[in-house]
Amino acid sequence: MSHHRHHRQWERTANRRRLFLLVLVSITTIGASGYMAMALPHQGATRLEIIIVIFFALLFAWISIGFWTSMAGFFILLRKGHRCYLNLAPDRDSGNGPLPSTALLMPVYNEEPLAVFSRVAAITASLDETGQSRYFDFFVLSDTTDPDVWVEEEILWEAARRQMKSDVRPFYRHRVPNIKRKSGNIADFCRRWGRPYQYMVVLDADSLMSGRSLVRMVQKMEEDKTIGILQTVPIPAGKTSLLARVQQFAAHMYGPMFTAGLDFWQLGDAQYWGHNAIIRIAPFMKHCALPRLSGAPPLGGDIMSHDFVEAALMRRAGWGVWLACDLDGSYEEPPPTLIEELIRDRRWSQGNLQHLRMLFTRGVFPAHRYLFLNGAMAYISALLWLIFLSLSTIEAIAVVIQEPDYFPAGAALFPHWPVWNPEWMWILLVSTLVILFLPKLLSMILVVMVQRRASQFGGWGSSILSVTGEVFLSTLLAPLRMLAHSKFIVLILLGSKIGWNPAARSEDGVTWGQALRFHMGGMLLAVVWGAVVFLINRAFFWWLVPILGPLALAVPISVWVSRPRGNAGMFSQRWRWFRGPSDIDPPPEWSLMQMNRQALKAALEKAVFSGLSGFTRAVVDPSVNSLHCAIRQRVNSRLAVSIAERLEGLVHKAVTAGPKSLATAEKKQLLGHPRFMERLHHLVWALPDGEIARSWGVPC
Amino acid sequence: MRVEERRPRSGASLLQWDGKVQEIVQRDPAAWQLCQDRVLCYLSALGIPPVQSLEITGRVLYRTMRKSDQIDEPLQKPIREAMRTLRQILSEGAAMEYQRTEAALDHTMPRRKEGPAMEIGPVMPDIVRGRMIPEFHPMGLVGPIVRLLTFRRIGGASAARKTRLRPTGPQPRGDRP
Repeated sequence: MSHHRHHRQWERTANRRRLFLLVLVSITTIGASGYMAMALPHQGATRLEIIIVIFFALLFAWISIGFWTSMAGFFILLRKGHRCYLNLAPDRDSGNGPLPSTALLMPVYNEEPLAVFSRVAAITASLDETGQSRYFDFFVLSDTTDPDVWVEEEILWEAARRQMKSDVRPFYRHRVPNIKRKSGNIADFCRRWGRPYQYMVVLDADSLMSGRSLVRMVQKMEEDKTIGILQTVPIPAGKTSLLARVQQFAAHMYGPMFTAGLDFWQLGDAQYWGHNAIIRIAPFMKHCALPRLSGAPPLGGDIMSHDFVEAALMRRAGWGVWLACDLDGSYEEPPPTLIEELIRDRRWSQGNLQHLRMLFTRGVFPAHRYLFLNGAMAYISALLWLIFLSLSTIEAIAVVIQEPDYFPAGAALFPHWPVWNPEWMWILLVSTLVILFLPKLLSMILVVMVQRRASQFGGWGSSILSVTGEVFLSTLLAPLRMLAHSKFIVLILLGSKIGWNPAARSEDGVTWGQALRFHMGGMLLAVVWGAVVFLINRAFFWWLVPILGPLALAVPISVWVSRPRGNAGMFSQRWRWFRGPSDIDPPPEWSLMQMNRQALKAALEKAVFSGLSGFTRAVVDPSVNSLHCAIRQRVNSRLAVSIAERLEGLVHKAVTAGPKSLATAEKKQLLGHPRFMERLHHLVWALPDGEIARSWGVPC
Repeated sequence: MRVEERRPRSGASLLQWDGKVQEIVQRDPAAWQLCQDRVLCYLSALGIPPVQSLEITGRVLYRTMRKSDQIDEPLQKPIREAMRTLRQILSEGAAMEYQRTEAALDHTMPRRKEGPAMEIGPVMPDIVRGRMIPEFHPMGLVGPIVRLLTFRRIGGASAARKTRLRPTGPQPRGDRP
């Protein structure tokens, strides 16, 4: 079958399926919206009620898409053996034949180096077990700006390189100007070293992939030459806070059904999520370079969420973007705290709103235009929900305080009675709950009764308890997320931009102070909102309690769900709540990672100057200084006189006033020039006994 | 009198080889003690085993003292001279026999095709330049909506843009698989 025919075949199938989805979503939305209009006091006759119904329709359409996607996934998984359009099941493995050269890329930005390199070592070790590791090279592409972390990365790269006895060649590159952030980092790799490689697997700093899956992905790309990007479904794993455990459980329990549904209607127009995906380098280089958007951030400037755009561009160039939904061995870490999750969402919401500017880009396929819209709606829907609730509150208050107009159209034979139908509202509420929670129930039925995998979740009882707990917690957290997302959207539209902050992955929990600062505004709003409604329309107040209640209790909820090990997370673990396959039978890659982490840590702690910070160590420790200078030796040593004089001045400052006298930017400047680092190293060791020598940590 | 280069006696301080050494040390014992400590610490940080470290330290101090003896004035800062001497000894290859120092010395050594100094792996493979040029120009949200409402073609904004945009879309392209 020719490639064109192959494309046409799935495109026809996709069109049919998408039309079917559109019909289902439309029917559900029109039905529910009509019902909503009838349930309102004036049956949708006033302007306010028309607006309420429009907002309701938008929100209902939004949740219906998720519902019908899950339903599609449910029916696909009921038919055993067919889960994904592209079949990547292990039994299709095409053996140990030669593979094209593939680069594994791990872009890092001020991440914990020990965690990064223990992952590098684990993935490499897992690849070695496949016997195919000679076809892979590993690139750690650092955009790190913290001088201490920068040096620690170099030390750990060297330590990992010494420990790994593998055919995978580990490389390390540090980029000083962080142009275009992660997408610029990948583009920089492509420009410099992309051409010798046929494929690249893009990872995140918290990614972990099994060697078997990596090999299988390369094989699939070789089998089907029309695939441009093959995205795996990363399963969150490895964290212990209650929030993280719930997300990990949900991904294991509901994820397969939802992704099967996504694959059902996306097919070759799937999303690229920016990591744990394999990319064909040549077309990526040719078609997926990102421009800088006109105007200033937040909606202009560099494209922040590059992945969706790259997928759209790859597809525009005629290559398929597919979801490998039946390939396991792909993991990531969830955010450990609620605040960290919301900070990440702030970043994503800005990126996704930028996508609206690409909605009308010529040549982009309709499916990807929809995905741009879908990505933006993930956050805009929160604002729509907030507006809907506000309008409903205004309506409820108006019903009480306004004198009813029985003859709105002037003199008439019969008055127009405002009729409030709370029982209709109950039916509508139940329908909404079905749309929201039925997929979760069906997922559990699928896992427990059809696939008979209850033991992977701790048994029947555990599965039921965990699903119940997850539904309760997601209901509790939904208003908190809604308010935060709404705030982000408003801030972005007002022109507030955010910087590029590294993701916090440590499980230190959230202090009461942090939680109070983050959630105080929402708490006050909920209390005032609730009090006003309680005083004016008590019947409506009870409808708002599930939303205003969690908002008023946001601080304790945020602290509670984010608590690290030993608290809520471990409590749930002890009681076998939220257990998933990765808890009951941890994947070997996790053990490899832990083992490598211990080994690297031990190697680091053996060093004489292990107690010093990264930059100080690069100055003082002769091994580290030499390593750093060797890594940076490509840097052009011919400098402009003014730059050389400035660097000489920094060296003098460091020697006369100690490391604390140097600002972060000054440390980075020195680290960028090995000649001056070497000179500083010599001068520091020659310092006479005294305070300055002690501040550098050299023996006095 | 010239000080003979020799190993320190068992149990004796490195700084007490003979009378001349005593004399030099007496001028500023704290400075020489610092030299000894620094050199030993430096070698330890390089991962050189203690016995070899003592040997190298002895050689460093001996050479530094000799230099001190050759000049009329005592060395103002023997530590600076000691560290310079240490670097000289290390670069002469004294440390090459110790595995851990190979990577450390790599950048100071002349690069060789083979040999222990090249044990450090390459940081990056050779650069093979490619190119990535953005070939699309995203439009704003308002303009296309206006064009849509006025039945004008989306993307046909200006002559300049028309010339820059290459024909793209679902049609088969030359490099399409």
